[in-house]
Amino acid sequence: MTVIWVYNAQETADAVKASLSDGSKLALRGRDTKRALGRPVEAEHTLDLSRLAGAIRYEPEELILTVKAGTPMMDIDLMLREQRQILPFEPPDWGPFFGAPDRRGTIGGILAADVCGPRRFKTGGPRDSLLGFVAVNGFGEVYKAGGKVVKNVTGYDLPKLMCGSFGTLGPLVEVTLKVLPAPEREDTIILRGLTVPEALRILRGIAGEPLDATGLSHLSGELAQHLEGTLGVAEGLTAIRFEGAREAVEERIALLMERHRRAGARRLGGDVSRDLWRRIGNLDLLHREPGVVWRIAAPPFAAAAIAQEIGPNAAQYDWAGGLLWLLLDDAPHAHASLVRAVASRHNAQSALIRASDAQRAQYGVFQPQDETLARLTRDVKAAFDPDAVFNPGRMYQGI
Amino acid sequence: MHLPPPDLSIVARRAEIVAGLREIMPGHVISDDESLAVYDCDALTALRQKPLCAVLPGTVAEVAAILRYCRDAGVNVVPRGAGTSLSGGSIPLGDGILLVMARLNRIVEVDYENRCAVVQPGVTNLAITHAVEERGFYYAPDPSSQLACSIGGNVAENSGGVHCLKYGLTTNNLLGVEMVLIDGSIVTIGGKCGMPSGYDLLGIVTGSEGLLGVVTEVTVRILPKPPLARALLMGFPSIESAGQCVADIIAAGIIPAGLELMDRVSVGAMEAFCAPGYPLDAEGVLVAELDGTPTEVNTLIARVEEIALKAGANSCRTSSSEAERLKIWAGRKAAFAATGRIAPDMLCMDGTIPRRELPAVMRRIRAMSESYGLPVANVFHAGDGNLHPLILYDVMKPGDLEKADAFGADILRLCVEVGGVLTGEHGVGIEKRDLMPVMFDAEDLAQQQRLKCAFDPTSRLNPGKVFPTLHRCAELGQVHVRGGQFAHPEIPRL
Repeated sequence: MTVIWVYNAQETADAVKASLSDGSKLALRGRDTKRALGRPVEAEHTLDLSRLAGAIRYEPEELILTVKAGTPMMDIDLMLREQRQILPFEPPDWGPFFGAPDRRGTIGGILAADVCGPRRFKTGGPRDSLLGFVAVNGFGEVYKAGGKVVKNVTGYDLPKLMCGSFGTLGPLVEVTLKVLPAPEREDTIILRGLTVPEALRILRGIAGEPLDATGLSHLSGELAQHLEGTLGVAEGLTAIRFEGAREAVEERIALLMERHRRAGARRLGGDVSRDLWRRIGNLDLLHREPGVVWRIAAPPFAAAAIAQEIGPNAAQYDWAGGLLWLLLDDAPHAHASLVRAVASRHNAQSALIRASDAQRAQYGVFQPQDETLARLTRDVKAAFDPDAVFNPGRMYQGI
Repeated sequence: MHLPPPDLSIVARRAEIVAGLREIMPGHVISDDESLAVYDCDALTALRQKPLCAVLPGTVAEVAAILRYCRDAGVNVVPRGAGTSLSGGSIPLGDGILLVMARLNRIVEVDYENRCAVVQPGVTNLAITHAVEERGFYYAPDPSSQLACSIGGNVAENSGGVHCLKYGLTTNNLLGVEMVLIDGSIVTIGGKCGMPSGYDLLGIVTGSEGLLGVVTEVTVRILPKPPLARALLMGFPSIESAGQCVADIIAAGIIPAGLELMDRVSVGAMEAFCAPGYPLDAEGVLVAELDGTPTEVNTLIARVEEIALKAGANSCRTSSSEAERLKIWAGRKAAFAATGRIAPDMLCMDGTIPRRELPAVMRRIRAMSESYGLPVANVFHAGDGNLHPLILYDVMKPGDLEKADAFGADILRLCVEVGGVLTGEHGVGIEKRDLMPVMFDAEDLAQQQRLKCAFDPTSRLNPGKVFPTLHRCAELGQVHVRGGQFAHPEIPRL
């Protein structure tokens, strides 16, 4: 397998044209931190996009950031921090979880793999922050879509489509993102020892109150025990985060401390709070435990039942139950039929997140689609990449 | 701005088409000339045309049967919700049927545990909020037409509203849709879970202006209503200082629920219309709304007040009751009606610009206004740079409509020139269709049209909207565009 390095949009397009002319396939990579996410790709060449890096234009006052797609997240974080701004979808660093170094991934990879953190239920995912892009399609053409302002409905919203497309519609070259002011203050309340249904009921309740909580997670004892110091106890840990103006955070924390005082509510201040949510987002606690990991996006009310029917060894619940991470014994079949059946029964969407190449190849990663959706998926793929040059098989067989 | 010429071979088959549709749905096909007059336009009233007939399905199965019939019979279809599109998204085509979704108007389910509501497309935007407010919830996007506009139309146009700075457009508040494709197949995209896997088809269907499919059910997110909202009314001696205030508020890390700017012309019109108490001596009037818990709101109101005074505000008033808040909003919300009283006709534009360009763009719009000899009133969603210049004209005056049209196009070209876009929330429709090449190259448009082909390969759904040039899908599959020239110049430009 040869590696092709490209330094600009035109070279990227030329590489695609070369593939079109000799019928070869291209595996896309940024800095190669998420190769283990999605189905394994078989391709003659690797198209390395990591040299497409650097800021193009950052306008903090417009809440807009335009960068080349291969820009490392580390550089973006630094730029944003200087202006006290953030990416709303709280992109975590999944490097170590997938066996790669930390602080290495690129923004293109984050967008392509739809990677987002604990705040998504409140401020949206990558799709809600990507405003515009330049990309190369499977015809070897450079094209653009979306815009560079925060509000735009001109033409189809292709930026949404690119998020979570795992490179199968072509490489992103340049991206324009919406950024937000960093919250002035963050604080977290934790509750200990709740059962999963109890914890999720409380979290759903808070999500339904006008309190603007921005983190609503529950960790099973098997995961919580890996936390440092007094947090590391082998019992369930329920965490509720508030971010915003100092006075607003104070008010909400006081309200919930009072409400859960008898249940032993504890307050975690800024740095401790930040560290906890970073570890939740980075899947750091799941990383400590061996086994197969499934991610299930669910209607929040179904979360407890889904977990009960699957019976994981350990679990992390985010978004007040809207997202489950379930750890199961490693088994050759990866529990695929059980997990998918349960997910399907509850109108949820499963994804096989951590498993061997062989398991992901054989059982697939994403919830299987019905016939009409599968046909649309094929037709959309063909609209961008008719010769299936990019990342063949990364999402589904043939896609 | 003009309607595409109808395909006369389809028009000639009108009787046969009406009969074919009556076989599917005996009761709800409207074809007599007098009744069709009701359906001859949407809210872009400058253009009018009657459809072949109007069809009002009552079930998903009927929608599917109608679409399948139209595809097989080679008939164009224009979907319509409440007909409030300002860009002509639901203007009928002379060679197409109008598929009116008004009878699908049921709230199917309110699911508080999962914080969502499942509704049929004909339900109005405001009716969703009404259905969930008893439990303290609401549906966030609030286009000005929310009393009338339907959620199906909101999905098609990705509608915004005055609160989208903080709460997002329709696309940020949807969880799923059920949609019928032109071949009659029914597809469910998304649902009650917040992050479906696979391609984000919900993302491209939203805002697709009726070109990809017909939405028959919508699952929307509902939010807990903030316990308090207060509005600030600020008067500035210049648009520049008002613009500076907006920039300073955002720079201070505050994202207000709404942030609206009005110029002197529109303020005058609003005062005359409903006396909201706006300062008449101000060149720019800014309304900011902060919502949340009482401590939060009061803290932020104080901060915004301080910023405004520093930026040079010569008046600043905060609502101290809900009645006062609504009164402050009354003027802005009546922008169209108020402006409608000072001129016989009005064209509402909708570009977005980077906020820093606001003073320069305002100056150029004023200069254009003078050279065209048509007055313009300006209202802006200032927080996100979305402009709504209202061009005033008189359709009875020969040449006025053409002038207004050209003036509007110049404003939108200016928006793109300074780094903005053609439309922030109203959609392209027919109104801005021919301006698409100002913003997009041929390659960009070809890629969008290939996506259209994946959903509607024979281009029966709302043809003539959004894209200035029709392509046959087979050609797009291989068309390589060079130097801004399409490879098939023989295909008619609309």
